Amino acid sequence: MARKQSRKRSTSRKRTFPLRRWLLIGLAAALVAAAGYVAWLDYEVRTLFEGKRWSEPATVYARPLELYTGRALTPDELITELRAAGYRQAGDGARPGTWARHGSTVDLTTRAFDYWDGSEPSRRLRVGFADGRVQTIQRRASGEALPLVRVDPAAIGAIAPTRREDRLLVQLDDVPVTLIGGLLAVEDRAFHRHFGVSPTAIARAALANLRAGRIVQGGSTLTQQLVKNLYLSSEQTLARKLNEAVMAVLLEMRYDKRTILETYLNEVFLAQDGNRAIHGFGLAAPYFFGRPLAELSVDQQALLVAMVKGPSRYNPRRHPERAKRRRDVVLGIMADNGVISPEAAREARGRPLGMVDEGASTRHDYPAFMDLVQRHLQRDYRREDLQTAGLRVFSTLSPRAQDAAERAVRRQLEGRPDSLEAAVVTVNADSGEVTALIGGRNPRFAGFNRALDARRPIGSLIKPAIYLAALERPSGWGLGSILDDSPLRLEDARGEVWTPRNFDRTFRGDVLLVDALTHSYNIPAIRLGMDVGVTAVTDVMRRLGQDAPRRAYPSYMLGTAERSPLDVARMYQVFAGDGFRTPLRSVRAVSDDDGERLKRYPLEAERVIDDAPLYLINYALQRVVREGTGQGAYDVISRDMDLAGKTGTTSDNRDSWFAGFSGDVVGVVWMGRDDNGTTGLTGSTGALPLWAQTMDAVARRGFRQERPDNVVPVWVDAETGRRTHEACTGARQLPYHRGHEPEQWTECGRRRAQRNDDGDGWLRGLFR
Amino acid sequence: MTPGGPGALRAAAVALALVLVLALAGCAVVEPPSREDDGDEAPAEAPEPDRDADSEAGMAAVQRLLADARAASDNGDNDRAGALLERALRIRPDSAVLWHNLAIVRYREAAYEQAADLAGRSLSHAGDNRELKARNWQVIAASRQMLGDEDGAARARERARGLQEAGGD
Repeated sequence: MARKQSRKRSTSRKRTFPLRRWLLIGLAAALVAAAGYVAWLDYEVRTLFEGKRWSEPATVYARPLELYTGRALTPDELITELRAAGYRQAGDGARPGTWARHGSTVDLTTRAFDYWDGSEPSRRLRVGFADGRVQTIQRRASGEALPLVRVDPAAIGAIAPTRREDRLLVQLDDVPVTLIGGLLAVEDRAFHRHFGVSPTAIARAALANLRAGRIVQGGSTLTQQLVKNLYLSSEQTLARKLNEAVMAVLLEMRYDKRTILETYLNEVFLAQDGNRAIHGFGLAAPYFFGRPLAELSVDQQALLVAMVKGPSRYNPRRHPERAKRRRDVVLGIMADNGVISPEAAREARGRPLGMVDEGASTRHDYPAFMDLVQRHLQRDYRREDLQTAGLRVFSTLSPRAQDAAERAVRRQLEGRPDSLEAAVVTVNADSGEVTALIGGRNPRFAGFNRALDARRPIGSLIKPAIYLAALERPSGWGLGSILDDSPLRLEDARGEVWTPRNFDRTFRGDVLLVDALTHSYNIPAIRLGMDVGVTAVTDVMRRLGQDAPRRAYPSYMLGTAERSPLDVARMYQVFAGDGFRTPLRSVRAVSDDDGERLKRYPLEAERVIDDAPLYLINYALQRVVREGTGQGAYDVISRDMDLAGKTGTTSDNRDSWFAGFSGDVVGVVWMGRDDNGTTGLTGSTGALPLWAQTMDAVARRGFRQERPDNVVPVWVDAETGRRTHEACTGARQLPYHRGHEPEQWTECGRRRAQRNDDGDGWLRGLFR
Repeated sequence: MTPGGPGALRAAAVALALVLVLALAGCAVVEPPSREDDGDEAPAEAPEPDRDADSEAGMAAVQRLLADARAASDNGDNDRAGALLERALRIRPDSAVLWHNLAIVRYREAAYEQAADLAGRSLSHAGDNRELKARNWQVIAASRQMLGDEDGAARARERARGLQEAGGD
């Protein structure tokens, strides 16, 4: 029987071989192909998903505000800082990221923050102010006094890939539950039950579309929408839709609902900002409302959910009314589904859209500074890592200094021709940290970064280097040396004769060295530079952190060297920083996304100018602002603030410069035109008022020097530079390198000095 | 002379200088920064109220940071110690003690050129504080020694000794 059967089967198999065998092979091949297809889709979607899920551009933070007792800070300044860090005024300032002011007291609650050097918890604080300073910092609960608190810094930007897609990742637990509830109620009610696709939703949509005769409803689940977003394609072919459906199911098999939802929240496209695509709710919140997602009100959450359906169509900035209608629909659905109460929905519907102005969102406000940060980081990191590894970059930007500089630029350029451009750099005098950077007259516009890339002749900004080279040779020159301000004929590099002029086209004969610098006379400076030697001047320039030609011509003394405003800041930082050259920094440290420290950029300092000549040159630079070409600064700033600096103007008034410093800040300002045309401005009329306005808002400490032991005050005659006595007419006190005081005396001075010597001897004898 | 003689002597000298500096460093890190202010004040000048507030500003914060820096350095995390001292210096850039301690931290990180430069920066703020000046010269001497600059080290040691002797009476 068995045998018979088996034979029968074998015969029957033999008989049906062609058809069934081929069918089977066909089926198997189809299965293999389908499996391969699915495996390929699986691979594809997994790569995309993982890539998105773990790809995060580096986030750049401003420097955190250090609050400590005694710090010079007003309540208004604190609030400027808090606003920049995304804090808002709310209630009693008891929720993280909020503040409230009561007269000279500010209550605030910091957010917990992971710094590269450790975490700081959220703190509820009360900060008391008096006389322009922080007087007390207390915990609000216990009243305990705290000496020092770091306020969590503003996120100022992200280093995004060239595709210009931007996001700010959030974790599911940080997303308001009402937003998630609203999103699911509107977009995918069955999210927690379906397996990636929802047949009932598809059927419902198909029916609705059939009835309408066009596509009015999509049956896509969130998972399908996510797949579609990952693919970044709006192609609507059937094959595409099928692929998406299969991928959605595959995603659901591989990942749990929480992971999918979290990725969706970070991935969904919500707005286009110029060439920057805003992806994810985490970034959309500050972009539209200027605050973090966790702090949005219900109506704001509903507005974001409303935009999912059509980011362009429901863009609240472009179509406010349409967006509001859609938001109110969303609020209704949220109430219907029990996400919020009907009363809350009614109340929320009554609110305005509540957006911040475009450009007032807290990120991407500082294109020039971000440019500097990127260039800095590209020395140490690969571009891909910056764009995808979720690095946290702790920068040196001071939002308050930047804000002050931006306001000064706006005020000073108002009403001036559109062709007039400006750049501003501020640097911490001691640490070399760049605190503000402006690359053009519109600080929000990420165009040509003049602070870094406009290399212009520095004009008279070079003069301190010439005078310093001379003062470093105390046996040859002191501040009271006589310089010759009479007509001068020179040959340039091509052997052509030129006759330099002073700015006012007059000649003064003999002038004191200190006055020649104070009033920025050209001819004495050129003569001095030639006497001390061009190589001595280029040597000083190199020590001031500048490239200098091996061979230079006398015209070099007029500032033909071309430098960027940042280069000039590097140069003047040495004067402000005790004669130590400190590499300028825009980044303090970098950590990875787990907060692990990767790299720190420590403060470095190298002495390049000795005490005595530094004291003398800074004395002269202070005279410049007190009584010379920089005195206009005191039209803006209180005369109590000691400042030092130098104007610079280039031929035909093409460039207007001012570089100077207080005790704590170095500021450099350039004004000019991109086409190198004439501006009609000198350093005193163009750059100086802008510099003064910036410094007035930023500088807190005057520039005061401690006189080194080897420098002594000496009375000299203001006309002849000869040594004299305090009581003689024309006597003027100047600091001198000890042992290098003027050798020649005035008649009056000699007589007085002899008499005093006698007198002293007599007194000494009496009181022995 | 035995072949290893001078080399061994030199190594011993370096080791001694190192031990000395580290011992001093230990002391320096605990020292409160208020000391230097004693020397600063010119008795003739009437103190302006603003300047008075300036000299007190951030003292408590600096003390806290200094203590944290010391703990970090003792833990071997000199990078963090350096960062904490830099934070303190942003509050009090005129503090010779902070610059000195930063020099010590750099020395411990074997960044000798920086150690010497930062000790120099401390010197320029040290006013009449002879003891602190002497310590800075010791850091400079030890750093130069490590950099192979024997003559420079000897000169710096001489400066340190001069300050210590003068300050001893």
